[in-house]
Amino acid sequence: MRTGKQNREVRSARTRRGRNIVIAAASAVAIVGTSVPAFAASWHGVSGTVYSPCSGNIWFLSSTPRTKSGTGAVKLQFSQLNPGGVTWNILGKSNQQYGVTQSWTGNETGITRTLDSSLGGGTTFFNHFKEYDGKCGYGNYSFAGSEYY
Amino acid sequence: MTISRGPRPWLTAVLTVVVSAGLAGCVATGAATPREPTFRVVNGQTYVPVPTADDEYAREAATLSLPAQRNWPQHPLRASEAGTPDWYQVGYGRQAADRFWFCSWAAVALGAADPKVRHDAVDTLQGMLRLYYYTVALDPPSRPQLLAELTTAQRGHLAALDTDLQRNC
Repeated sequence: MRTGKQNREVRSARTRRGRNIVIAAASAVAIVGTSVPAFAASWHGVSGTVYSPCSGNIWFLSSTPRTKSGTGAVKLQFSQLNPGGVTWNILGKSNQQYGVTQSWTGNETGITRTLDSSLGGGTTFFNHFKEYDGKCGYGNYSFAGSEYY
Repeated sequence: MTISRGPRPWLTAVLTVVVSAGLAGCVATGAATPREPTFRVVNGQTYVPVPTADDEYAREAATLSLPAQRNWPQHPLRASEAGTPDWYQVGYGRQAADRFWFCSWAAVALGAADPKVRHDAVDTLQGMLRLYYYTVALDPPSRPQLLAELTTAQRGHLAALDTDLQRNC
């Protein structure tokens, strides 16, 4: 036989369980409603041309904004390079450079270099590049590769 | 009678110069400044100098409305820090204007104490999804992030918009 006190405790326990369920459900709804999905960094193709008429001192700025997924490294490698190689860095708001400038000579395909070791997730950047050696007469100034961000 | 003959020498010379200039991506502005092309085209990609990119920015800006008390920058595009010639890919100025517009309205959304002002600013920001920045310039892998940012903002959660404002505006 349950006493009145025991009944109150049972009711109280049920009430607490019910409240916990409501709170958990509300929290789940809140998480689903407020969180931005987690975006994972991955490799993306890049290609272009670093034509510079024998000056090697002309930088080209891509018109493609790219947004970093999660905080971490931005890396770059090439599957095809022009004989003059390429020099590369990334710029953000107000043309501010993030990380360091890296260079690849014409035969350094397949070599990954880090442009920024820890770029904040959600940061938007632009590729900024030029021919590495500045010599003319190669006939082919195009490149193709992959960028990790 | 059929007369067959090769192209005239002067025509060959002119065509050679024109074709060479086109392939090299250099279009000179005139005889007085032969080393300063107005644009460079190689493999279908066109790059323009700062003044031309500035014009592109101004044309896009003319189609957009900023919040009250906000003005377009006079010289939005800069030469590189090293002072070397910088060439902007066509479209850079246009997306930069869209981005400035977005940043201006994001600042209103995040700074407004009045919920209606905040709500209206967030509504205005949805227009970014119809602008050149999102539909053409932004690389496809990055589009879901901006879309999620705008969607959550419409639900009243501005954390991602705040991060965007802090890091990119």
